[in-house]
Amino acid sequence: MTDITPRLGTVAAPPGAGSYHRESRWYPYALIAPTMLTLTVVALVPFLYMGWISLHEARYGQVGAFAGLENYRKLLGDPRFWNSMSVAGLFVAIAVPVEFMLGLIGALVLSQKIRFRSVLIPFLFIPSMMAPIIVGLVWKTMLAGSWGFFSYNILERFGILQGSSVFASPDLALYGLIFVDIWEWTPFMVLTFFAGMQALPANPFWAAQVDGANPVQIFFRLTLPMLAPLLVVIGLIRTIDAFKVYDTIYILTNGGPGITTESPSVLGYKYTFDFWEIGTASALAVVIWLLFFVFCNIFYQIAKRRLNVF
Amino acid sequence: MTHEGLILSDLARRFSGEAGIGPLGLDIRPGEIVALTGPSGTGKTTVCRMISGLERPDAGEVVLGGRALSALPVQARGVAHMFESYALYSHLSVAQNVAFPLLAPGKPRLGRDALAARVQELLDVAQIGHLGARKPGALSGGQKQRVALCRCLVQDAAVFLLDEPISHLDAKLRNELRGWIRRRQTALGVPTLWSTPDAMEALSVADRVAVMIDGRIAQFAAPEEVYFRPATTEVARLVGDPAMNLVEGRLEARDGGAPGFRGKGIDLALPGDLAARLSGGPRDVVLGLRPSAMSPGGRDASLKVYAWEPFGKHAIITAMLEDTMLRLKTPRLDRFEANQEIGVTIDPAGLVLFDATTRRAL
Amino acid sequence: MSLDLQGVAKSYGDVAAVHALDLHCPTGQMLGLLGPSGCGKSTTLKMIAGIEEVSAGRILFSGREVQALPPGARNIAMVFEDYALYAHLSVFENIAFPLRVRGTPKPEVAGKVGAILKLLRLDGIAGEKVRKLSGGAQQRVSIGRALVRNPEVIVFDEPLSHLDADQKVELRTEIKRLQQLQGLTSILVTHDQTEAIAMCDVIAVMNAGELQQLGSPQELYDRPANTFVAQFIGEPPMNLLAAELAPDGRLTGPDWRLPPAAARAGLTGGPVTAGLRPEALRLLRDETGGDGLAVLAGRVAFREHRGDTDILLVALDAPGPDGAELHVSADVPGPSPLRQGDRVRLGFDGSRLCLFDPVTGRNLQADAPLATEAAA
Repeated sequence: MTDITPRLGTVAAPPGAGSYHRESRWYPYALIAPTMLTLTVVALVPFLYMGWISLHEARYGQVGAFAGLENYRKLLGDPRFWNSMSVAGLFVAIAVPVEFMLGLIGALVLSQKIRFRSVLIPFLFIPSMMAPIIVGLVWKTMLAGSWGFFSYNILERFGILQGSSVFASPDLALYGLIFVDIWEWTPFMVLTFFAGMQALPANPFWAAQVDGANPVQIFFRLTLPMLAPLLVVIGLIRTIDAFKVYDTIYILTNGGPGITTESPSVLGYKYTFDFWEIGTASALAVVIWLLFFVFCNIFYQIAKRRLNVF
Repeated sequence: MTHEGLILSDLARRFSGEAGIGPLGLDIRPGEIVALTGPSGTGKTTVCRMISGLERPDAGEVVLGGRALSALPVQARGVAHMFESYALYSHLSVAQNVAFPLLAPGKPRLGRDALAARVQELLDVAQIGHLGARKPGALSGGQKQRVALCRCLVQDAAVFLLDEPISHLDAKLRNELRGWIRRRQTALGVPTLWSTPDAMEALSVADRVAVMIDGRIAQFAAPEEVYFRPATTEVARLVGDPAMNLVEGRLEARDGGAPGFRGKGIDLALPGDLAARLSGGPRDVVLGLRPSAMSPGGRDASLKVYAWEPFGKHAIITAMLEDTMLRLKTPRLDRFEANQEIGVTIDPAGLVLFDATTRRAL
Repeated sequence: MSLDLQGVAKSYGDVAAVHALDLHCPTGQMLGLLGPSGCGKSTTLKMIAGIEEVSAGRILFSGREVQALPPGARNIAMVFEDYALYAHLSVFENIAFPLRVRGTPKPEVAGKVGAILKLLRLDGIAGEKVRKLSGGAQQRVSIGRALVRNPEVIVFDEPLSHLDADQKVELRTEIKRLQQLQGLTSILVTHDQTEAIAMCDVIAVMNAGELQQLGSPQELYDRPANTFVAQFIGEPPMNLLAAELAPDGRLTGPDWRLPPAAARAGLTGGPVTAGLRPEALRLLRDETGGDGLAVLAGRVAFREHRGDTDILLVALDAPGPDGAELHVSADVPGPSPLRQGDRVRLGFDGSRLCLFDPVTGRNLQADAPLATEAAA
């Protein structure tokens, strides 16, 4: 302001210092300060504290002497850790692609001018609106041995399972969990992709129709590439979310039978509250965080280069 | 440059990775309309946003009525801003949209009837008086643009910023609104900035025209000045209907000794007053030829017709002079076929010369 | 290929968007659909393309009925207002799209697309992603995509409305030249009369879902069918003045008169609306007037600078029938020294005057000669 005063001659002082500092350079930072502070206290401090614990002997709530990487050595030497990683890996590898495909198909169906669409859409919100514990309880009942509605009518009649719950079978328990996850999250995917499709510009689709493309060509050559940014983001979120799955497993199998459905989150809980190995549990959390960090970065780079997203 | 209007001094805005805007200076006196014109992407909208406070300049100052504005938040600046993107409230009706600025906190309360009358008056002028109850979603692009215009003009503002106010309307309506807005703004006695990519709209509506090229003001002058003496080739390329033709060539002494213009397929004597202003030896220049300065029939240059467009009262012939494309505007309405050879006469009165390197007018 | 619309209508529920419409576009010509927003031109276009179904009537391509066919089966190409390009594809792939979806062999695609790229001067940027291009270049790509598969009809939906003025003029010429050289039967939908007049061979002026006039640009300009067309075509619009026509062809306004003329003989006398193009008004320097020249006196209310012409909005001394101030616009050579408030006298003779019925707005002289015919 000072540099122009001489040339303009009569630039009046701004009315009142109060309004001036409101618009100062620091004003935006002042506005976000409370949020940043809260976030730091509730997120960053515990995270750093966890990292600190993972480098110490910590058992039964007592943080002991500095232990270097001992907790990490113990974790990586534990077969249960590797088992949990393969459980989560299989869970993600099946559940996410299936949810994706069903989500896209459902969204395409919804995009047609079908009847009762406005009635149907609210129903799709139900699974993701239910608390995971309730979802777990519902399916525990539905799939419980010979009296469960689902296991009796389908699994037993076709001889897949005899007399016991799906979740009691070492071979089927994980697939049962994957099934529940798909049930819970597919409607959410349908709605998200449907909303994404609705937001696409209409003219390119008309142009493609006039150009003579059939519906299949339009889907693969237009709809999918144009939805790519949304697909990438949703895929990333769902992958991370599925990897961290905890509550449905806790209520349905608690990692069993044996350790056949023990995901890293369940294992972390057991380390902490069953074995009181707080140091190892912290190391597990740090390892998973690192894994996500690397995964997200690779994913981001690929998406940026291959799909022209972001 | 001190008056009670709007003054932009050395205003600049930088963007990471691309050329920024400014520094640029501009002033609008009370009751004056200044048009800001230039190709899209040159920063007209950013200038408007810096004035209304939606964007913060990296340098320079906006002064309104002798008061520096950068200290003030958007709401306190007294700027009525019409957005190019309309920015209508989709959940409100047309009438509610227009009334919205008058209901802002701190504004004097109008009675219900007075408010409705004031809104209706503007809607009627814009010929959307019958659409007051509709939602913006049910309007065409041209109708939305008029709602946005009404919502801006309804305000008692200290300065009005109209960002492409009439670009999507048909010719008849554009013509009517242009005159009406101009008379109204002049009578209000406040500064108005009218941004438009259409240079002819700028010339017809403004008291002074600022031509913005690549983020800077290339010329700021009265409409006649911009039209008849464009400051650079970039300005010349924008102004006119159609715009001025530019021919590369050389300034050389002709047989009589007076300087003439020689280019591919063209050899012209320059009129005395222009020749007198040019001193020094041969040099590379660009010749500015107004479309109406050339008429079919004659031997000043030989052209090959590329396309012919009749307009009712005149026709535009696009033709090639060797490898330069030229446009002629002629009152003759007879048909010219593509690839037909025509000779033209050039009226030397309206010639403009530019330096080939600096691209500035000589 | 020729295009015919026979009694084509469209209604949404009880709202009629297009009333029974009859249009004809001869082979190799460009038909313009011109009108203000909401006049039904876009709906008409979508029915021709097959994106909207007709509520009634027939659409014929070279005599073949197509109104029941899906868009892909009509062999029609469209150029959209917002380009409607496939943003994730390159220039080359956008143009190749219609061929790819038809399973055209690769070498043939390369050859055809290459030719189009050259024709539209896009060969330098074939590999670029389209979203990085300027509006003009994007629209050229969209035209390339339309041309590449030799459509029978090519439809332009407001192709220039999002472009800068200089690109607009350039692409307008480019489209017209391509259309003429390749003999493309095409349809142009626009709200901009300048575009329609510059590009089309035949123009259909529409208002509120109804056809107002179908004719060549010169016919619309010189012989508008009614006052709507008269005011929609031409910038600034035609001036309309109330006058009284005597049975002998004498025309009288509040303070001006024109002597009898052959063109007006034979019309029934009575009140008429006289239509006068702004360029037919001449600035009179002195008190001349005299034979055959009517004079309007007034003050300059507003002067618009248009470069080599100035447009004067003149408030006339003689008020209208209801006592309100009357304005006429005059297109005079620029730059004129006149300023707001200056007194002016504008003269006109009866040669280029249109006469309309003051009630219906219909043109009373449907067979008046055109300017081009008069010159010849």
